[in-house]
Amino acid sequence: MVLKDVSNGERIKLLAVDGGCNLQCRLAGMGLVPGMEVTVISNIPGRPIILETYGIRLSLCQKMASRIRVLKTNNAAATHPSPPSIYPGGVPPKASICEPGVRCRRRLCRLRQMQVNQTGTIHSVKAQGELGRRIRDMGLIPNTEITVVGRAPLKDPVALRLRDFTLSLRNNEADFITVEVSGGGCEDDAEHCACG
Amino acid sequence: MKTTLSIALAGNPNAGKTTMFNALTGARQNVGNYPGVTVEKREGYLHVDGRKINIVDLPGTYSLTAYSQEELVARNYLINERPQLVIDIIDANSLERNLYLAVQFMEMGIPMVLALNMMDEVRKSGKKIDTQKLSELLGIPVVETVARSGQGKQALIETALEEIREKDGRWHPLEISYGPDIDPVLQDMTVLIREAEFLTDTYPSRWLALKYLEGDVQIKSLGASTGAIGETLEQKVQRVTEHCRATLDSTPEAIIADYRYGYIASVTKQGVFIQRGHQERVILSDQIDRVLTHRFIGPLLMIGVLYGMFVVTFTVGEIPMGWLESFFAGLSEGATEMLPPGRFRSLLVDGVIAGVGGVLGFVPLIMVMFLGIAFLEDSGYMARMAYMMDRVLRIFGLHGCSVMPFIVAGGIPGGCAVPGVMGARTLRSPKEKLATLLTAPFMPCGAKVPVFLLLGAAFFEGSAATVLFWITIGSWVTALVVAWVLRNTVIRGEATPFVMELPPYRMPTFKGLCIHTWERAWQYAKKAGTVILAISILIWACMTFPALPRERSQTFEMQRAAILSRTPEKPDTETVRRIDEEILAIDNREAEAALRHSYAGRLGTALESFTQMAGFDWRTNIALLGGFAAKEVIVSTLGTAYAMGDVAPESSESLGNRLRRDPHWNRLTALSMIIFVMLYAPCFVTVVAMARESSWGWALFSVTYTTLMAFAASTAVYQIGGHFFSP
Repeated sequence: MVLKDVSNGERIKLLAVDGGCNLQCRLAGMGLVPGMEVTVISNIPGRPIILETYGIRLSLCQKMASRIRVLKTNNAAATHPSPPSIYPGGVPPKASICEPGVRCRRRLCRLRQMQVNQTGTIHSVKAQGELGRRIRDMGLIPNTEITVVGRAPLKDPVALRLRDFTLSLRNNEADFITVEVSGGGCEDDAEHCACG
Repeated sequence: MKTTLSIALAGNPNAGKTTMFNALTGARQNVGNYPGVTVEKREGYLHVDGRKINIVDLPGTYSLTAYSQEELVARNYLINERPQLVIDIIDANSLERNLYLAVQFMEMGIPMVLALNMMDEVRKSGKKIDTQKLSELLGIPVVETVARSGQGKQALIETALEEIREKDGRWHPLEISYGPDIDPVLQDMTVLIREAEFLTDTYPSRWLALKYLEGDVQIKSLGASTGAIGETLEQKVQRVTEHCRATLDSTPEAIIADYRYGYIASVTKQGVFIQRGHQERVILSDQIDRVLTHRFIGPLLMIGVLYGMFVVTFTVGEIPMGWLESFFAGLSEGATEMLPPGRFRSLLVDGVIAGVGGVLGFVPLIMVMFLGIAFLEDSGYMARMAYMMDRVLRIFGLHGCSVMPFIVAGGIPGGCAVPGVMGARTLRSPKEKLATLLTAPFMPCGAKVPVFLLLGAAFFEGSAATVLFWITIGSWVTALVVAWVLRNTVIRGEATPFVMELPPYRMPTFKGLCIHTWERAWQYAKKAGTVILAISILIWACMTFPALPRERSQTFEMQRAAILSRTPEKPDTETVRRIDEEILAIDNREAEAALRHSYAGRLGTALESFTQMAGFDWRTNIALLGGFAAKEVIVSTLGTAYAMGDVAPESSESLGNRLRRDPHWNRLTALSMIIFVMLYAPCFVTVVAMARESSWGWALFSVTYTTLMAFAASTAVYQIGGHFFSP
């Protein structure tokens, strides 16, 4: 069965995600990987589904949920008693990604904010049109590891090292690229964690 | 099978495509432009077993979208000309990114051979590429090459020929999965396209559908003009786009790209590619960059490099330029002696030889400059310059690469706008290139400098250097401000994305440099030469015809006769000198009268009432009109117009003194003229070069707007200045 068809309060195990790298990565980034168990907090047709796993709440849209294959485990709330739904209407928490206060070691920051010699993995590229295409043509796609190798004398453009070549982009172009950095901070410490 | 085969060379910029092209074809090449665009098209051929193989070097691209001219040209060439085969030159150092283009060729289905270039570097860096396996997995022949040494080129050609025989002109588009969101709709659209027979005779149908999903402008407009099918396809695309945005927060285009990379990764991860440690060349390159793009040292070194290149261009270039000049001087002397005085001699000497000599005189400059540019480009430093300068030039709507044309055109006084304009071709972004082209001629080129020095020395005593300094500053400010204005008016539009590779530093090959340099010089001499010859004859005619009426020239003749008749039987040297001087004075007055009587003179006189606003009389007008042909002419024409005889631009003190004594001239007039010369229309050679790099429309636009601007500025200075400081 798929996640979409699971009713409220049930505990399930994730089997597989029928989707491209994009979807899989995104879910993995949120901590949803095949094999893990989650509790469905709320599933109202037409509304996003809310899941809970290890005390963290996530919300997914119905379409995404229709592509996640799951198995009912039936030991509902055995290990993690599902708390009464705090969002009775199924309204997703605003941050929707992770519970405030939960510390996350991996941080997201915009490429512009990265420091020289900092390494990270591209999380998303939001550019469209010509810029988006040029960025992708150069191999800057999610899950690519990059290192900032330098900045021009006026701090702009920025030079990046991909695995085997170097390229440069302007800061306003780099703004479209979100990078997941491990350890260290961004120039202005990013507030959001890698889950989203 | 046709007896002449054609093979296209494609690949990423800096992958060694042109080096391979040179290695394959040697000197048998022909450089032109693709019809309608200024993208260079190189063609060459080689003979194998008595068969002629045409090789076309497609412009370097990273992908096959319809965004940039280069990509469109490459794609259209493949589709329309249907060469038998594409050789995709791949920089094996960055295999995955280079394969991205290869996958797009495979999606088109054109028969292809991959050339894994720079294998020597790969081996040295300790990486391993299993060529055999790569070939099996992709289903495409793969050959290892080293273009710089020509290694593997024989095998490459043999493999190519074999592949041509095997495929026999059939295209086999590769079908890869683009995931559950794209695949179904792609399938739908392919069927629709096939049923409607929409362009299926030229394009593979699945490829068309794919391009629709990628939002390809060219294909979409073809669809729109076909009618119903275009609409249906658009609707489907719209739906899937919305779906992707809602569910994946992405676009079909991005998803397709992800899957292409996914496909590449699935190939390379199967043991094709083994990397041990980091690459030497990248590490070395990084270390060089640490110095060359250092925050403080970097810009200083760049100024040094630019200045060095400038000095080299104009000192080394001057030597052969001198030879050419003395050759043409000898030629015109010979012609003067051999031919009887008259119209024909004048045409040959002053029109043809002076005109052609003037054009060819630039060739050494262009060669040296292009040698320098080719070196900077091939070595990888050019990209660093753009990287460092971009932040500043971007403010004015230009690109980091614009700095080079500006410098060569005279950003350091004494340059030349012709090689400057031609140097702008290194800019890959069309709008920025155009803005650079249109503003580079504001720089004080070597031919304008004598005018500035003449006026500076005559009217701003002792501070000619200061005048020149401020003129240079003024030119830079003007060029940048005008570029900004142009980019916000006539060439408005988003900045072209800068995303640019910083290729590892490499030592350019000598052969490559020579071929580049020769090619460009030849192109210039050939193309510009014909037009400029015609124009110089025209200008000669304007300044010669109509000749002085008989009675007036007779007056001068009589004056000369009168002086000679007064000569005593045995004159002493003092008297001879005096008489010669008097006769020369009459000659000069005659030349002045003839010039005034000519069409150019009449035009100058007719414009006088108008140009008086800027303080120019008819003499200045003629000189400025002559400067249209070449800025060198300004000083010498001014000399003729003031009946000073031929004035050499280098020694113009006498003319300066003459001007200072003239009641018509004062500091304000001089300033007004300096401003006019600084700003007004580029010389004809530059205009022709500009037309070649953009179009005649833009070249004429440049002539018009600069002249209008120059006149407005001069008038403003003259009028306002005259108001405050009555001379």
